[in-house]
Amino acid sequence: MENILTIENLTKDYGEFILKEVSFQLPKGCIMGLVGENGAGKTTIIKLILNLIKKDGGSIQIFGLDNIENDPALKEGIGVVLGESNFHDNLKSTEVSKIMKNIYNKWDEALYFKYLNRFKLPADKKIKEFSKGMKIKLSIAAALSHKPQLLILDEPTSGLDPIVRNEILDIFLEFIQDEERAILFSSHITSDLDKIADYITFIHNGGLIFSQSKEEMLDYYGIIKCGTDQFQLIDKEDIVGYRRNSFGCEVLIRNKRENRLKYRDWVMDDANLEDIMLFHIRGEKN
Amino acid sequence: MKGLILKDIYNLRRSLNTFIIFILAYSIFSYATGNIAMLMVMSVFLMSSMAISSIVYDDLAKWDIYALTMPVTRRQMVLSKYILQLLLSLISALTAGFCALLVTSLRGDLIGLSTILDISLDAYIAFLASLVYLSVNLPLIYKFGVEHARLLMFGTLFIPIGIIYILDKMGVNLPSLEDLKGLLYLSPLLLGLVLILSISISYRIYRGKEM
Repeated sequence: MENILTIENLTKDYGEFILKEVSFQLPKGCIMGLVGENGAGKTTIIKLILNLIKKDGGSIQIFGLDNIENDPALKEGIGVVLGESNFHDNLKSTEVSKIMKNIYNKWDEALYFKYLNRFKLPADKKIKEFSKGMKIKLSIAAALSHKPQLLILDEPTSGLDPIVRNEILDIFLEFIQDEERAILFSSHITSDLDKIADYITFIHNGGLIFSQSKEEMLDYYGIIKCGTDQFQLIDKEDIVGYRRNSFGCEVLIRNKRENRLKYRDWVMDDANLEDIMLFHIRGEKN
Repeated sequence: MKGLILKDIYNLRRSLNTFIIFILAYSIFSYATGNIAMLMVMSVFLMSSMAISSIVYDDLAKWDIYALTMPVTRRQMVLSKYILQLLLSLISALTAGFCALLVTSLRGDLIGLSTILDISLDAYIAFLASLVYLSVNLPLIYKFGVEHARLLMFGTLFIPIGIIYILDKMGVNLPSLEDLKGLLYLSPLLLGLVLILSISISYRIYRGKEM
């Protein structure tokens, strides 16, 4: 499988925060969720990919080409939605099209107006009259209308109600029907990524915890709920993190398949993305 | 680049409307008083801060970080502001010049070659001044941001006036406008140099900026 995005040993040193040698690949036809708590380094990675800040080490290839040497030509093929609308409040959506037509070679006005229609966005109103959901939808329409191959989304669904969020996730799933495309989607709303991501890249404190397919990840981790006495019997090597509560302990276990046999008399549940994140970040370690 | 300038013109629409109202009002005022020099100076002065206003709007929308995710270079981002100001200064100088001629003829004053030359010269000097003002201030804005550069911009406007005033009070013999006429022929070249220097400083600052 060919990669649309390849990141190797990416490093950025801000002094008080360091992104440390992060590597991952985004294959064609896939949606990758970039997860981590606020300040983990997700936005830093996205800014480095888009050459908005300077890296201190490593390499980034987009469509097989170096992202700095081929900037800005590469950006014809990338659609970006940042966490908010970056269009000026006094613009109208029709004017956005006129501006973008003069920026992107492949801007498709008809496609843009099709999205406006679908999102029920008024063409003649100023953006300042739009709700937050409408502004994000406008940014998505703008990001899709030059027919990019790679979509990069930085927290596009945060602060939106579940209905708008679902509507937006459907658009992303439609976009990815073309197997030549890919999406990098940073979010801390894990349920959104549970729904649509094929790959999960998990960043914590500027370091990479893992980058793997969601299926592999869900297959790898499990949760054991047990009493404090039983907890002492669990092999420390198998524990990622644990939480104590009034009923006993919840333990995130690695190698779920093998450990199902090892701890066969115990209750072992599947872990979802939120569990995996929480236990990695907040769970007590041995 | 065209897209960037178009975006600025859409954003400045309201200010441009204000400019039109202003120039009409001032034309009437000039008609009543017969003073057309103020019409020229004020109209170009009003227009000279348009590129700076457009940067304020860009900051509010966090436009730059978004624009640089598009096929746009940092050089084009900087250059677009200079071209915008060049266009607006040219338009305002021509409009003000035209209004001044109109006011003069409506007042029944004779319009000879010398009147046209005088008005053209005023318009040209106002045009030069607005671009020099931009050339001094844009690098400051790129370096310190619009908010912090405001005070410095105030300084760049009033410090030279203050120095001339003090020199004059001290009895230093300042060159008269007649003496400076020679410079007029050199002015397109000087303006070109000032612009090139300013653009390269602005670009150098903007190139290293982390978004």
